[in-house]
Amino acid sequence: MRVVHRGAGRLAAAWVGVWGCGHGPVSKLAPQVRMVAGGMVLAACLLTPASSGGVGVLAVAMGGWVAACGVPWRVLRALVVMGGTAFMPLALVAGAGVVMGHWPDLGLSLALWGELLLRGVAVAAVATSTVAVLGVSELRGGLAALPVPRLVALIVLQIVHQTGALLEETARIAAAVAVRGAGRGGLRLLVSLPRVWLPRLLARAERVANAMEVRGVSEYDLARVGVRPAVLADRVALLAVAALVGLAAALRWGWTW
Amino acid sequence: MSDPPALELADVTVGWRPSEPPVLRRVSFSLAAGERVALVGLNGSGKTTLLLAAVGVLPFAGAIRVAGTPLTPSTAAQVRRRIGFLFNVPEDQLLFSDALEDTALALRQRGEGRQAARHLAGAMLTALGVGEAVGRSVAELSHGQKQRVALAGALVARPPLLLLDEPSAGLDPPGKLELGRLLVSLDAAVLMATHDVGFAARVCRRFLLLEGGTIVYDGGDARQPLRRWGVEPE
Repeated sequence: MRVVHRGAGRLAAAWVGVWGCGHGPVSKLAPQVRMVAGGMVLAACLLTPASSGGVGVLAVAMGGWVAACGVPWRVLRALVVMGGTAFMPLALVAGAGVVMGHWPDLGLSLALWGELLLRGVAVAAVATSTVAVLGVSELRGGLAALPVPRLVALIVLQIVHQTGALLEETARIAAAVAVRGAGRGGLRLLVSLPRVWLPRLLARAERVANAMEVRGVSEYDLARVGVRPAVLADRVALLAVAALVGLAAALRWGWTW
Repeated sequence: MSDPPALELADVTVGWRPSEPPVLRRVSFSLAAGERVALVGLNGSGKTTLLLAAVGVLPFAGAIRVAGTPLTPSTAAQVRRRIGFLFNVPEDQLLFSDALEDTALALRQRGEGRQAARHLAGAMLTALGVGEAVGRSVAELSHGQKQRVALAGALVARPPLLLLDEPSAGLDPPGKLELGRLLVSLDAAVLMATHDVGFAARVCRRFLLLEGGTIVYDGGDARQPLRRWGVEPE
């Protein structure tokens, strides 16, 4: 039987499923190179100006990175849905502003909305693609190889783990509401939900933190995870994304050669 | 000179909040090396609290010693390396998305190489009847399978002391049988919190009954707890 996830369950399953789901050429690079390169592509997307050339570079950077990461279609589809949901209210605000006369220039309003949409989608797509080419253990390896303070690395790992755990807990509560909420007590159940949800999440977070402490994860020497040194392909990839950042910066600040 | 007890509690009092009455009051007992003891009690009797205090997660008054080492904030990490701990909710303690990697954690912490650790972890998962979890995400496993993976993580490094909170919960009858056999075959001292007296009787020869935050029975008769609960022993 195929498991169908709904609501929070879908979110929890998506969080678990997105890590390491990409199998494009980028996934063959060393984990630390994937992380740095993803960060650089993100920087390039944010640096590009709103000119036609800038938009072109942004689109190429985003599309190229998503393709090179080999992000599965289901993840891309989810991204499009999330992007649409997040940015549609902005389009409505822009439209309302024009109708009410606050922003008389329709073209400018649309251009502004379009830039926000493109940049927002690009940031989400690049970040998701970078996560998609990293397994959680590779994230640990990548952090160990980078000059990141150990405490910061542990906090990042804790956030990643706790997010999954809390989404899972939310999914359980949502399932309980779905099953028990039907009928006359439904409204009362919904009203009491915040008082149930928050303490349960906090209790779950505390239990996971206890487990991390007892199992010695905070003591775990990140250097032991077997860091893979960068090879020629890694250096070439880094050079390519560095050139992309350079191009975005040149367009932004009008540098000429 | 004889070995120090694997675990020793002396006048241990534990409470979750200072404003509330303590959950455990002046509890004392010791567990010899290699001894298997069942900590039985009804829901809310303080079994989990006792186990959490024994690994230093909950603050306590009194003294706890593990293989002669007093449990203090400065010795907690060292003490925990001697303990395999099973939490009562397996999802809480599975810290890696990959079941094999999660099981291998304790071995990696003890300096085992990656390949050797994964090999031993795979063997432990197979021994617990959950070999199919190798290479699978923990999120895809059933509750019983997660329980077995969590157990594998606690047992894999062969620690001299095992503190297990409801180890048989969520296991099917063959799984309980296998776990019982495995625990009996180990050299480790075992303290298992459970209300599954039948399972406890297969593994342990000594029973501590917790009631109202104190130990009201310490002996070898598995029927005693059942009688106190008004349940007719089979």
